[in-house]
Amino acid sequence: MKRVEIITRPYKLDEIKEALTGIGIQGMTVTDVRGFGRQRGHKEVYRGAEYQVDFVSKVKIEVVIDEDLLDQTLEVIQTAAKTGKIGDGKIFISTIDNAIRIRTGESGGSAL
Amino acid sequence: MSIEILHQARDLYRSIAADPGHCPAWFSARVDEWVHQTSAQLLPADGRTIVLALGGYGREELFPFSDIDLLVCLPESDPPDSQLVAETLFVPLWDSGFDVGHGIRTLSETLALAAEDFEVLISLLDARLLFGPPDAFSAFRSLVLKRLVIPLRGEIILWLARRHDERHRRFGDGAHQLSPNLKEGRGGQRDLQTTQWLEAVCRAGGDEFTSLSSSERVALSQAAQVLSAARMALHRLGKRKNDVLHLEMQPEIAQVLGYGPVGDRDAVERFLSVLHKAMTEIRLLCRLCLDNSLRRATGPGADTGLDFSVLVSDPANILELFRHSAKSGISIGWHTRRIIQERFSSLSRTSDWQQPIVLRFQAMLCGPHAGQILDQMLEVGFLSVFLPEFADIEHLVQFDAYHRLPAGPHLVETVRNLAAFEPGHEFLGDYLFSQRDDPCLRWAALLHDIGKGNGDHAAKGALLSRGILSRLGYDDDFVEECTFLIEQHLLLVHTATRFDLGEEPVILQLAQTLGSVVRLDRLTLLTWADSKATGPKAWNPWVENLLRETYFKTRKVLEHGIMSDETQVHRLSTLRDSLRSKRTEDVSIQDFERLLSIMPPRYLLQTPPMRIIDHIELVRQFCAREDESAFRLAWEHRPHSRSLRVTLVSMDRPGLFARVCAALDKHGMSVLGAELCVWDDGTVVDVFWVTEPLDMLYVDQTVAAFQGSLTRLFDDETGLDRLSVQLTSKLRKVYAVDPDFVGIHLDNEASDFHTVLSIQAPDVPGLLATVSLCLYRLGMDLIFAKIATQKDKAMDILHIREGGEKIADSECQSLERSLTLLIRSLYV
Repeated sequence: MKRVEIITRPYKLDEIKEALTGIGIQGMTVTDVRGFGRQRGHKEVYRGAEYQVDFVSKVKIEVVIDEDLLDQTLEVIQTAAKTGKIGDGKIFISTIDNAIRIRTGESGGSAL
Repeated sequence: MSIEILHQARDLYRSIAADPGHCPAWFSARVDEWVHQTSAQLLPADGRTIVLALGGYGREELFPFSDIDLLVCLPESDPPDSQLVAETLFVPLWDSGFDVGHGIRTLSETLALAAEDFEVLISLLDARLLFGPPDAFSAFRSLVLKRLVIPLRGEIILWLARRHDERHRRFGDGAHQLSPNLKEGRGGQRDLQTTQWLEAVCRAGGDEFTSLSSSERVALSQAAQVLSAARMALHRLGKRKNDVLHLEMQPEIAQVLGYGPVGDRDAVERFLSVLHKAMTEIRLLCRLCLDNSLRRATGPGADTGLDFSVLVSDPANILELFRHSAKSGISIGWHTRRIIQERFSSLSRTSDWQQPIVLRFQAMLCGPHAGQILDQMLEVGFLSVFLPEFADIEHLVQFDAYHRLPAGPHLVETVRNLAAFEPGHEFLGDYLFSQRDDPCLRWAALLHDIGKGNGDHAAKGALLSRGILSRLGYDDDFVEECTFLIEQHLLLVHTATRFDLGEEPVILQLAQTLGSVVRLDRLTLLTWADSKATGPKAWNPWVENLLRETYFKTRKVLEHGIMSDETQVHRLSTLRDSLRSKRTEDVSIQDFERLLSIMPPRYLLQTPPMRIIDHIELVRQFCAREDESAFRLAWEHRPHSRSLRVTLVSMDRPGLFARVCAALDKHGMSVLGAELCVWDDGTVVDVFWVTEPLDMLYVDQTVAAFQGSLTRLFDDETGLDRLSVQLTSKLRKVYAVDPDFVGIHLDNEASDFHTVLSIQAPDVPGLLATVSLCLYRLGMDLIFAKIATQKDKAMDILHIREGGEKIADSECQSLERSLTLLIRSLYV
């Protein structure tokens, strides 16, 4: 099983959600986050005064999937999230040792 | 009855499929039976020991997981074996999984304990005989009343009031409102029991309990039934001792209680609205009883609020009362509130609200204590009479983890937030404060959700508000402004979270909708107040970040950009209408509207209408092409200026401008001027004014050759390299020009979306091609350009981006230097 974590622009949430449900991924966790990478926040200038915005608002989407589905998942995410501009974000992939459905006690892939 | 049979009764009672007849009184009776039988087997029949039910059990209100509170009151002398009593009466209940509150004491011990601990004393007020002679119980009760309740009446009432206030403080925050505690929370069963205890304490002293009128008693009884049903379902579904109505349990409980969807309202929302109304009723009536009891117990000096009962026969006086309360910060007393309610019942929907009263209401609405006053108006019921539409949404609950308050209290909270906004507020305080007390904004805050429960609540709310404000006598301009704010109260958050704030068209569209900085300020303040009143998921640093960015970018456009000129804004809307009237039959209405919607405002304002029509035709031809050509071209000779106007339509791609410039230069056509534009869907519409080719006799062939070169350049990167090398070597001519007369400037402050590159230099063939090739090689995107030549001087403005963003400030200087050196090299 793999955990796929996407950090990207807030307005891309609906598109990514649709793309994931389109390939059969129903469960996901969404968190509002703030951060900076190369964007390094940005500077607003108004009336000569600078308003340094240190953190940029992003959205984090996490899904746990069968490894078989990984390539397809990454492809649809990138298609949905990409604008080609700085700030598109990143995808992190990690391995999950196990998962358990609390209600039934199922574990492994059938818990997903 | 054996303990096993009691188990069975308990299991039956706890089942979600339990019969309606299996109610608290029924289960209490089952427990009574067991306790009585067991006590009869255990205790001597000499009439000196009594077994009592206390607390909820004493009131016959045993819920499926309630405690069973028992007191064995022993005779002072020769009492039975306490250990045996405990083992026989309490242990089997414990072993069966009941939670048992237990006490084995003599009467004197009980009285001593109750005198010190009012929790014990209060529980004795609910005492009910389970075993023993009735006259022994009467004697017990009589002693409790004479020795404790009557002499300590004032202290008991004060204690009840303190406990009430502590409990309300503890259970008052947002989380508890989303998931109310049906027992301890505001308007929960403890409040209900408090009214009953107050009545018991009052009657103990021989007084009539007049805190509640007969209609209030009926209302309280009905509210109690709603609460009881909800708590019952909660215990049965949760299968454990829990009185918190958690969010995830609410839909199932609504279903179990038989609520179904009606119109837009789903079952759980209907249930929660009914529950909220019931708990509000209980809360208010409990407060009424407490205030009345406090006044009686402590005398006329009690702080029970403003009492103007004799004055409230006139609506104007009623409002005056609210105004005094606002000014002084003292709440209106409950006795007066009741009289106001009685007075209101005779007022009709349409009447009585003369202009002076409306103005007084507005003055309070715009004042610093607006929140407190509206709270009281809501509780008293004044708001629902003054604004009958309020009654429809007052208890409306939205079932999500987002809205922490029902609609009525939410609207009041929004106004409260506005009233508390200070000049130095961290969220744009300096910019927004000036609008804080604006009447339009305050009315919009009060009415913005009046359309809830009816689909698009913003649009519906605007419609309802129009009717309300017109009815109250406001003029058209005021109504228009207020309803605009209501209809658009979700616009800013929607834009900030659903669109790319880095794209100029997004901000331009927003600026066009708002039209002025004043509206932007008002709407931003309303958005803040509304979001904060909604809950922490609606207002938090994440949202604040996005909203702040939206605000500043929009404000800049409204103050300095295209939208800063009101005549331009008006011109935009009339321009579109004018273009529509010029539509040709070749373009469908649908396609035409789509193209109008994607044309940037700058393009619309700066391009003559007939030329826009020509461009639309060229775009149509380009879209309908059957060959694989990458562009469409049209040209026109302009003899009076000895130039050609060449229009190119294509799809945006990196290096497009550089390719066109290079191809034009190759065929001896120098760029005198250009206007480059990318429409919102990526369609490029570039217009070039170029010098006539050397031999005008063969202009058609020259243009065709240019087209061929451009076609080859579109796909041939090496061709572009070769061409740039040729251009560079060709350009090495000597010009008697001062090379310092080259001005290159990169400006990151003129626009929030692009870096503006301005070039002033002596115009030479290849200048534009060289610059555009350089930018292309550096990976810069050209978004918009205005190229002009004045006499022999090139005056070029290019809006550029790198990686979708403005060029970093740290890189601007080095880019300026590089471009300056590059252009200077053309003159040497």
